[in-house]
Amino acid sequence: MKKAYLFAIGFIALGLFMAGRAMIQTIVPYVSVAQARQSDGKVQVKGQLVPGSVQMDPVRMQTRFMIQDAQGDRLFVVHPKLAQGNIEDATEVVAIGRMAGDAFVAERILYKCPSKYQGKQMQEYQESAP
Amino acid sequence: MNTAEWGRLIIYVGLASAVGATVIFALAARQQQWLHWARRVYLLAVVCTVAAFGVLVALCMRSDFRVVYVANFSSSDLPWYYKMSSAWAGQEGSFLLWAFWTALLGLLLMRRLKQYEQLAMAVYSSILAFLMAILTKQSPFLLYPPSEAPPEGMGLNPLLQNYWMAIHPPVIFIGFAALGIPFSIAVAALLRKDWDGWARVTMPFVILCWLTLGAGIILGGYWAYVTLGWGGFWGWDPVENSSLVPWLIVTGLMHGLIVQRVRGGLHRSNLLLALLGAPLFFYGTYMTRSGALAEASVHAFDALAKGALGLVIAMLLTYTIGGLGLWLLRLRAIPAKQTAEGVLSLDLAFSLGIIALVVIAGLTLIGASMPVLSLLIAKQSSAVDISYYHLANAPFAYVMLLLLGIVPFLSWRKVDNSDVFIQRLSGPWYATLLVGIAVAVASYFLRLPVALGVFFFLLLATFTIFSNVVLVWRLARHNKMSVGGYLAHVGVGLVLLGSAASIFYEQKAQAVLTNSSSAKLLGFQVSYAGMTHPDGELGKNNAVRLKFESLNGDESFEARPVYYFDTHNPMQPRRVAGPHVHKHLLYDLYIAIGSDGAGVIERVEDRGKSLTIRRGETKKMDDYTIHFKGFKIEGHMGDSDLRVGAVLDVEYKGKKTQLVPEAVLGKEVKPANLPGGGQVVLFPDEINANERMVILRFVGMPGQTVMPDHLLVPVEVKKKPLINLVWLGTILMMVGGGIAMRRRFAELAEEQQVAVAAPVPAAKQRDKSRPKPAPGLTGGQ
Repeated sequence: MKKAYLFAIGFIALGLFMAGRAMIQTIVPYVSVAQARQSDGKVQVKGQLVPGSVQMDPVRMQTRFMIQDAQGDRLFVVHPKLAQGNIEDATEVVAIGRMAGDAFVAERILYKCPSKYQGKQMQEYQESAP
Repeated sequence: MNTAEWGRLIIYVGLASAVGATVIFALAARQQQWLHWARRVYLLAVVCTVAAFGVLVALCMRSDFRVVYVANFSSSDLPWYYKMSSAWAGQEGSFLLWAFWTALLGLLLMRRLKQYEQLAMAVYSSILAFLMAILTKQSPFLLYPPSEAPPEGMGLNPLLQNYWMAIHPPVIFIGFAALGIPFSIAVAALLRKDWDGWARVTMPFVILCWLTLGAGIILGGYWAYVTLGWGGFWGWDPVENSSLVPWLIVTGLMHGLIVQRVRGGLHRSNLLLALLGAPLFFYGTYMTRSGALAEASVHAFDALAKGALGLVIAMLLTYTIGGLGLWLLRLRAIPAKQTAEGVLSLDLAFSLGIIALVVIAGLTLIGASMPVLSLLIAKQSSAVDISYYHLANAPFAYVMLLLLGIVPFLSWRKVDNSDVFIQRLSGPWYATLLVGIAVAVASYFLRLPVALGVFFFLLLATFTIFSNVVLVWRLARHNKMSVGGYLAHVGVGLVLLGSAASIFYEQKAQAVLTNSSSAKLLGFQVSYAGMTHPDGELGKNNAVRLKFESLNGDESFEARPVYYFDTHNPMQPRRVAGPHVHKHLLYDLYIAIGSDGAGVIERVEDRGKSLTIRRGETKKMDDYTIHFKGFKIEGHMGDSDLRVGAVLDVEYKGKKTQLVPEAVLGKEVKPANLPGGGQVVLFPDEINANERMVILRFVGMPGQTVMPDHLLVPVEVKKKPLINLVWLGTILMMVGGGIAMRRRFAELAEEQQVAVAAPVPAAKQRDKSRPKPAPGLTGGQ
């Protein structure tokens, strides 16, 4: 019986240790544009989409746009694929990725459109990820 | 009064009668004569809830746009079935759907509770009361002032116009409503200090909850796969997690109840799990609908009205504190019997499996709550990457698969002779080994990607499938009703095998097609063949026609990924794109226009000839010699109108001039005119200040051929091997669950009849009447 208990406890402890490590590895902080520029790891930046700044480039398979955070700082974002849906109409954008020079390379972007639709599932935001 | 006002009134009457039922059922626990009245009042609450739901459906069917809800989620051009489903497309409607099922399930429950009826129904009615109260604050029956009613509705979100999406909410909400059942019975058990009877009553309802919640989750996943275009069926989204976590808990509870039934153990943890399911879903409801995640993410939904949100919080706190408090209070009184007899016993395997399920639920919950948790702990909001869920849950998923694989060969008693155990195991084991060798050889010769972790995961899943298939086969000959659990385990193995293989061995390719060019993608020649509705407007149901011809000539087909503009909201035409799934037995071709279904790009700006140049360099471009002197910058980094210019010394036919094309970041470009015609342009995204490098674009130069505007169709094709195993697996899980549920309902009915016939406590009766399961044939116990 003791053996079984030890077995179970050891199993949980090992698993939780690995889960903790996974948490540390995968946690991505939300930062402002200024903090993003200082960062060297993966971060998420939330900002308003600068109207008219969206460029879809089907040749290089890129979406490029500018966002402006609450402090008024702007960031040029490159997303290495063509974003889904109506990013041109988006208001808020969350870009997840890392800085490359002055540009922010976003591997994932989430964006919210000022839509009347307010249903319960995924239509509230759209997502683009590799 | 018009219909909508009747609807509001009915909600209030429903609220009053649900509160009444709660009180009178509680009274009836002390004085039996109230029971009769309690049932009647509860019945009134059910009638009101069903009527309110009926009114909303009727309003949606009649396209009554005087009602705000109908105008927001429906339109008159929808077919009747989507008009009906718009009744649960919005926030208010989904709460009403939740209340509707809660009320109806109560009728099913009430008849089977027997001595638990008063207390359990009191708790259960209070949940209905909360939901009705929320609906008074967030009413689907609000009317526009008569002059402001719109002539036409906004229409149902095109993404929801899909039959899977039409039935997903009605199914999953049965599960959400059913979560209240084990909770209510557990509270009654704690109050009555009855530690075994409750488990028998709860069992079939727990399976009902597991089945409907599971089916709902799967329908949602399948909907995402065929509509959203990103190519997967599970994204660890907060909404998905808020239904997955309670489902995992219910799965744990279901297995715990089996142990309690057969071996008489796990009393404490079963009560705890029964008390956790419903509050966890209330928590998920709060997180996803309160805007609690909005601080940090756009993942949130339109927030609930303040009063309604307050009620959701009250509900969460009431049932969490009430349930856990009562459990802690009674903890010492609950028997704690240790049953496991050794390492190789079914008891230990069940316990470990339950632990693994609960830990996976906990880790998922922590991941989903991270934006809020991190704000509380570190004052800095953070979210976890999706890979967190894979990395953190993996060790437990491996253990779970291993357990699922060996469980069919264990028995409740300790296996004295481990040789017998190994002998029973050997068939599936060798079969798995063969598959493993085959996969390894195939990987080597076909140059498939290799990862040791994935390889073992696939093998464990295969092992699970083989072992359980063997047992299902053996059990089916003796007693068909006992195969449920193991059939579901085969399903779990198939789902995990299919998802891992379809993600890991996925191949993808993308290309941009034009009217005149085609591309080779994954063994197919792909060309653009026009639109299905070529009249230019790209009206409803338009699709892009893509011709696929395999290079070896075996197969040709036309893919029709959906692509059109939804114009119900004239201010915001909405681009709708959906994938085309071309099914094969062993793989799917998943075809999306654009990467991730982005869509067609009608016109492209031709940026002209490019010249990449560093500061200080001199390069030639046609007749021009260009020296890049340096940058001219006005404004500060981060300013909204930062202007960057490239100072160029240009020599053309012996004449030197200085040109400064400029870019205003995020806004516009200011080209400079070239001597001899044409312009040089600097685009903001083509400036690399770190490398001191720019790309110059030359447009309109003599002799330059400008590409005409044309259609560009970016196509992405993914080959997803073995994805069909996922769907097959989910079907087996549901069939297995269905068989188990039938069996448990039948058992409960039989036990209750026995209990009525002879006033001996049902528990003792059962132990005598049922033979102990034979070792190795413990099917479904």
